[in-house]
Amino acid sequence: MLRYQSKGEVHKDFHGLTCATLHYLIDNYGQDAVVEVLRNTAQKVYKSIHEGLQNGDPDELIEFWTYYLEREKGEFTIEKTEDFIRLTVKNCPALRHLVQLEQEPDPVLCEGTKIFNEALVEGSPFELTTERTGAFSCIQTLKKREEKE
Amino acid sequence: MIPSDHFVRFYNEVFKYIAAKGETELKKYYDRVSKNQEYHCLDLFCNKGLQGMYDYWEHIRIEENCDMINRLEDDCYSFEFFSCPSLSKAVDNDAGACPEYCNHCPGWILPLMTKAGFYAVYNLIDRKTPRCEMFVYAQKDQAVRKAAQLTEKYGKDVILTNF
Repeated sequence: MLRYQSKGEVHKDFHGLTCATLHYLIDNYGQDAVVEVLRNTAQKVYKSIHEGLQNGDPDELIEFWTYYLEREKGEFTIEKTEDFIRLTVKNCPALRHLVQLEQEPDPVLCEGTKIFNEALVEGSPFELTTERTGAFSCIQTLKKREEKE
Repeated sequence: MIPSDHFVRFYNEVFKYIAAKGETELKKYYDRVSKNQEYHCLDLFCNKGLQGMYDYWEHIRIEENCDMINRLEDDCYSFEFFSCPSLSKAVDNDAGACPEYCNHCPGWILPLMTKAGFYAVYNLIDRKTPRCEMFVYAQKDQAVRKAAQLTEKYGKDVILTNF
């Protein structure tokens, strides 16, 4: 079950502020600042998702993807197989909203998602890869880490 | 993607990080946020004055699901948050709220009011509860009187102005 479930209207202008904030952190404190803030966000704010993954349970992560991408009217699919769970975002609502704010679809948001995802699965049996496939699209794949021999 | 609905919990982590860098660092960050907010507010406040402020926060009231009231009188625009959704989310948060969380609102609003030529009095009431209010005037003497009245009632730590 999702720890945070928002209702009512959606204020998408926050995507613009997320983008500006990531740039601010990089410009003033370096890339390590972005990693630290997103790591804390992934592991402390989303504690239940992080702990679920550490316990081998990806259900809340899938619920999180589904609930918020639907709420923000993103175009996406989630494919579940025995080997992986794949989120394919065809039209990212965050990047799309940047255009409405007269900004470019800034890859700093995608890089942020990659860092966030890596922090989310830290210490878990999973790996979560994030591949940008276009200006507004990406593929995020969750699968069990390959055991080292 | 960090959902729009969860932005404030990310923001809260940003404040914690920046606050740890030194006392003046958060002020620099608020100035940058204020600069960004000029895109949404500055023309509106400069061209439509108090009515423009009413229009902006009415839009925010709806889009951010705020339990608040906007008031527009001849010589004053004011709002009152009965339950601020931003601090409410920062508090309803497994990572815990940054003690300075509330400062970001006056932090971006007050410099913008100065640029628009208005005098604002921001009352944070108490940084631990999701309530606050702001009064904006075109005339400085009215703002000075309001600030004095609120300071007497709530204490100077929670009353912030741009004059």
